[in-house]
Amino acid sequence: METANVLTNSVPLILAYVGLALMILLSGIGSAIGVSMGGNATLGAMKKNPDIFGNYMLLSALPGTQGLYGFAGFFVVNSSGVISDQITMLQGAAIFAAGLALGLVSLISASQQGRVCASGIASMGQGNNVFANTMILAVFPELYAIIAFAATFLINSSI
Amino acid sequence: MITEVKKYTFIVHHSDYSSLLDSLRDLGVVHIVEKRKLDENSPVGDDMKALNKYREAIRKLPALAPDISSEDKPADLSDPRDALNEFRELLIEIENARHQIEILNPEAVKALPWGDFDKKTISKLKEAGWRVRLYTCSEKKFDPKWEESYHVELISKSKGRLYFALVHKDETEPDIKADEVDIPERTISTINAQKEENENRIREAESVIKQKAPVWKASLNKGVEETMSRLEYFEAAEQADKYAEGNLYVLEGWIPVSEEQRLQILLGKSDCYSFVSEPEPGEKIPVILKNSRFATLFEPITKLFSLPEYRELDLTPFFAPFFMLFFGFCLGDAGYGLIFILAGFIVKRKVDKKYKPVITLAQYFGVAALIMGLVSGSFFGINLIDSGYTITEQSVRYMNNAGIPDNTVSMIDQAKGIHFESRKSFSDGIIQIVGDDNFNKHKRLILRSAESDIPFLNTFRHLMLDSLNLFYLSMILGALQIIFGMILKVVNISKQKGFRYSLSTVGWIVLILTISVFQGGKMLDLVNIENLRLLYTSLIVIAVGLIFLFNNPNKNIFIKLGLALWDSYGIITGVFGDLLSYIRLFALGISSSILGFVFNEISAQLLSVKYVGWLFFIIVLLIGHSLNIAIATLGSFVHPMRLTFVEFYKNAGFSGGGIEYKPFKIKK
Repeated sequence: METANVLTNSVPLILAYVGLALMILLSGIGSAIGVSMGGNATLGAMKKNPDIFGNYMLLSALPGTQGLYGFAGFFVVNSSGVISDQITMLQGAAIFAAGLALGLVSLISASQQGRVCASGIASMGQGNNVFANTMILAVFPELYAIIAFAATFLINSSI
Repeated sequence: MITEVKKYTFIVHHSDYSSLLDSLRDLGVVHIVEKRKLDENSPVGDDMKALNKYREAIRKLPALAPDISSEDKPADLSDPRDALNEFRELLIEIENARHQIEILNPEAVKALPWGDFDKKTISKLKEAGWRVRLYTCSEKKFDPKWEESYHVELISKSKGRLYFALVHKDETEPDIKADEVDIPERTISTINAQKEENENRIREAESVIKQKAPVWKASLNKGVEETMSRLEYFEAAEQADKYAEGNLYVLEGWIPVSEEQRLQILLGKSDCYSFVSEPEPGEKIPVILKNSRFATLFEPITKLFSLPEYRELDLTPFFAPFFMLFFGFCLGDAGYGLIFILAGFIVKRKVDKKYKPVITLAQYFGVAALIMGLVSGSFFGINLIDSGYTITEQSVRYMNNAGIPDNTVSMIDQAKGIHFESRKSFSDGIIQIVGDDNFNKHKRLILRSAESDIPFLNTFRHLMLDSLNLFYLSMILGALQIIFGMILKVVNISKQKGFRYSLSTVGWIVLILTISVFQGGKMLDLVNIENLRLLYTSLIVIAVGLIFLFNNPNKNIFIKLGLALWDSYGIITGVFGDLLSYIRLFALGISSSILGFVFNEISAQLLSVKYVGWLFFIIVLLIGHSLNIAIATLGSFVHPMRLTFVEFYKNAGFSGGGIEYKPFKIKK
């Protein structure tokens, strides 16, 4: 009986923490990949057009926001006090869902955004004046990470 | 609004052509019709290449002479071509010297351990039958026996390696386990001297560049101006059609109606024959936008996508207020909006006048963000909605004056003095006392009556929308823009083809409005469908009739029905998708508020660190909010732009493709 009780309490806790872990680790990985792609492209572009390093840097930094969203999502859930000994299955499952959603979306959104930025940087290196255009195009993948973040926040408010 | 233009056709004898061009250029308002484009093979190909070279040089100059400011106006300008050639020669000089140094460096590395020696000595030894060989090996591997068996001289030691020379008779071959190295062609001193020489060349060249940079920069700029002027003149001149074996030149141009008089005065004085014509369908007509002061600020945004075609409606004044509102919605924080407004005033004083419109636009955006931030209850991430709710004596008096039934008020009176943190907990608490129905009937008044921890908010806090209502608001704003777009489409089509063609769109508008007003009203209990059933049904019938029977006045009935079905599918799925697209406003707004909130929480937690907590607090706050403003601003600009160019333009039937008005004039 004791074991059963422990299990009933553990499963939602495990779900919740796995959710939090997914939130942070997947979005962090995504951002790391994204900004690194930008960095690599920058070093290549510097060979041809070293004068606009500032622009390259700005574009490289854009995919960094998804990691921030993952962290903010973690922070919001963590400080809401939901994760405790009295956590219910509903709450555990909700946090797991939020973590899965935010983490996966941020992972892919950031790495693909990094690809867009890298293409822009490479093009700028060859002399095309596409800085503003790249910034605009890079914002589109980010929208989905924002939506996932908003979903996380709403899930958190409802549990 | 698009300025009206007229087309003038000028016919001159070829000898009068250049004077006509000169007068047109002085007038500066005629947009010459482009019939052919210049390329590198044309006679001005050299000028085009020169222009590129000038521009490249101007680009490279600041790297070598960073101190020159753009205000320097040296009195003595040299010929642009001379300046260009001198600069390029020095650049080549520097490049060559650098290349030389690159070649010398590996050689220097090899020669360094061997120091200075005289090659003649080695040759003399060779003549005497002695060979000199150079070896290197690591210190540990050096065998002292070698020094006994051979004539070994240690030259140098560095980084754990030994460098030594071995002299032996020609006939004998030394047998040692060390790496043999070729005798360097030149000694290290010679190499270094050559490096020094190249470095001096670079230094000299750089100092000449620095010294002459101001003069060169101004001369190169002059060169660019002159060349561009020549190119433009030639380009304009090329646009004339030649007739009568080159005796007659015919040139076409567009002129705004407001400037017509000036042109006619000019033509009166010249030997040119001309006639006017109105714009014809299918012609490429230059577009000059003319809008109110407010809408003009948004014209750069219009140009980011496409100028409207001459005959269609300029949508700039119509999307402007929506754009501003959407920006505010997406930024969603009153504090950030305030920063935009205040920073705008500060920056306006310090920058060039030409940036004023952009800064003013940013300030308008700030106003929108301030308003929407207050509506969503966010100030620098601080949640204004959950700012404490307490029922006090004043609350009770307010509720009584507002007309809430006495028994309800006396029930709520029981909760006097209890402090609720959030709106949700307060609402739950009151619902427990007075019941769901009662609370919902007087919800706004009850919320208004509660005292906040921040007294300033009392008067309008009840108007602030929570997440769910913001979600609905974003969709409502979207629906408004879509319907408004459709109304504009009716105007657009009426303007270009005639009202009959727009009837199906009118039908769609009536259908959508009817359904949303009646069904929405039913949900909110504002409209009793039963009483108005007749009105409701007849409106729907009219709408469907317009859509299916009046969509294409010229085709027969079966084609009309078929097209209508196809259109319906497109419009229904299209409008649904478009409507959902506006959810991004809600998502962006809420995410920037939450990020601000997170940074506030993190910095508050850091405050508890001993001694330096306050420093971390300030740093995290500053960096966090700056980062948040930067990211949020980018998204708040791009997404409303996308909503405008995709959803709004599509529903307004915008086609675009207008060409920009580029009058032939003297460049200042």
